[in-house]
Amino acid sequence: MTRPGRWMRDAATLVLLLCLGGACRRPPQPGDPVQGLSRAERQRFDDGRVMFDSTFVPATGLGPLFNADACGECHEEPATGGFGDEIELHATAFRPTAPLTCDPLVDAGGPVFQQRVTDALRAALAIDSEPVPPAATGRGLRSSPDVLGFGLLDAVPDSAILALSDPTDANGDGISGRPNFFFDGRLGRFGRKAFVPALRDFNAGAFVIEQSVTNPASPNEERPLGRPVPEGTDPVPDPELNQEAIDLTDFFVRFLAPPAPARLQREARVGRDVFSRLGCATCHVPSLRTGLAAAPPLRNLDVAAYTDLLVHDMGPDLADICLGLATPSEFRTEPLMGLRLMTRFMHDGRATTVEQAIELHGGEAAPSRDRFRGLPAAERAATLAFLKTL
Amino acid sequence: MKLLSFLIVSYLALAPAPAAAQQAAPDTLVGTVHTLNLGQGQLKVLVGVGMALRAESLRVSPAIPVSAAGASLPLAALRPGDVVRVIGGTQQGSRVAYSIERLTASRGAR
Repeated sequence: MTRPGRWMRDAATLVLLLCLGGACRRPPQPGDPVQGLSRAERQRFDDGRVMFDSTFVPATGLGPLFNADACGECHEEPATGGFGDEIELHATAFRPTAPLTCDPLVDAGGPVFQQRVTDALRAALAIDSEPVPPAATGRGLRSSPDVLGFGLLDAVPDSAILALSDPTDANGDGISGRPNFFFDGRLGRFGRKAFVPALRDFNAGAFVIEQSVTNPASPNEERPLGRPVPEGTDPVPDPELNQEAIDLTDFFVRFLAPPAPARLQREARVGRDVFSRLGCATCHVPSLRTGLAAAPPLRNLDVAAYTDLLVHDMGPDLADICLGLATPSEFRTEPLMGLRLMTRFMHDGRATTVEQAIELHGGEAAPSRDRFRGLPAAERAATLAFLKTL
Repeated sequence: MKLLSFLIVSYLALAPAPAAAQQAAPDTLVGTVHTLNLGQGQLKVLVGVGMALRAESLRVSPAIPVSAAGASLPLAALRPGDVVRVIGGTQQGSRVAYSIERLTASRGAR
């Protein structure tokens, strides 16, 4: 064989070996599972997707209060598990001087006030949605985020999140992220206020607050205005869904792959550096590492989450509700993974472009926002080009 | 597809729930003190799963054992916002607390 021929043979062998090692694998598309599922796990993932997309009706447990009739109604773009255009309403009472600073208004049906009712409840109570009680001091609209990669966020050890917190700004960088905690003392990480500690809880609770479909983990029906459900409006005995259905749904959500970031071109590489220089990466931490306690396909991985899963003061203009220890102006750093798939931004979808979203950052993020405003046009464009690769 | 999904939901909704799920609420709950009314002997604790939040009401007697970090505590020392573990049961249809352990004192907002 001639020397060029030998060289080509060696190169082809190398490519083949790399492909066998996984380097030629197609990056996961929205709605795909993470890599490493067995055949049986892949089947379970697919069964979970059917459950996630299943539509409920009153005869199968829907309502009497609800926001949606299927998980997939709100998490659908560009694939099942993605974002949605539905906006829901939360309300709480914040009393800074009271012993319990944040009252989630549970006795009045809070903190999630469902926007739809079944025909039976409408006939019984003459309401079209659950009214917010006068005791509420804040209302917050919440857009439907994608849940892609949430299993990886769930697999980040508490210690990794706590290590990023700096509640007194001891390092003097102007950023004082702090953890939120659930009612039982566990560290929170899910939801726009980082209140929910675990994906399993997030999923089981969502069946109840979004669809009023009770299940073994959360067997009590949503109570209209905090009162007992009127007789005859909730025909299915509780729990309305069994554990297997919850487990299937949880399996699907847990193993949904995060969107693979796009390849960085030169401008985006510049933008990545500018993003860091502006201070954005202090809260939107580029990478978190999952722990060894997670399921094998989620174990010991770097996830390009672009969040610290802590709450930060975002300023008075964004302030809405409190939740747990989070004050009205504190929000969890929104994960930026999958940002390029989104069409609306911020916790309530008020921004229609990434640039608008940056402009809306206040509080601790105001200095970074101001530095972004002051960038030369080329660096500004580079920053946006980088963000559009996530 | 819609028919398939309806059949699956119907099956899963109507299938018998595991026995554990049909039992009464567990005797131990961990949550945050919402209110404590010493006069009426009533403690309300916030609990929940995900964003499905609930308030559990329990009867408490003034003599109930209350502890924190191994030391005993008067019931009146409990504050809204404290994270507590309550061991209790059901008597005459209402929940009763037998002992309370304060796990974390109220952190409050900053």
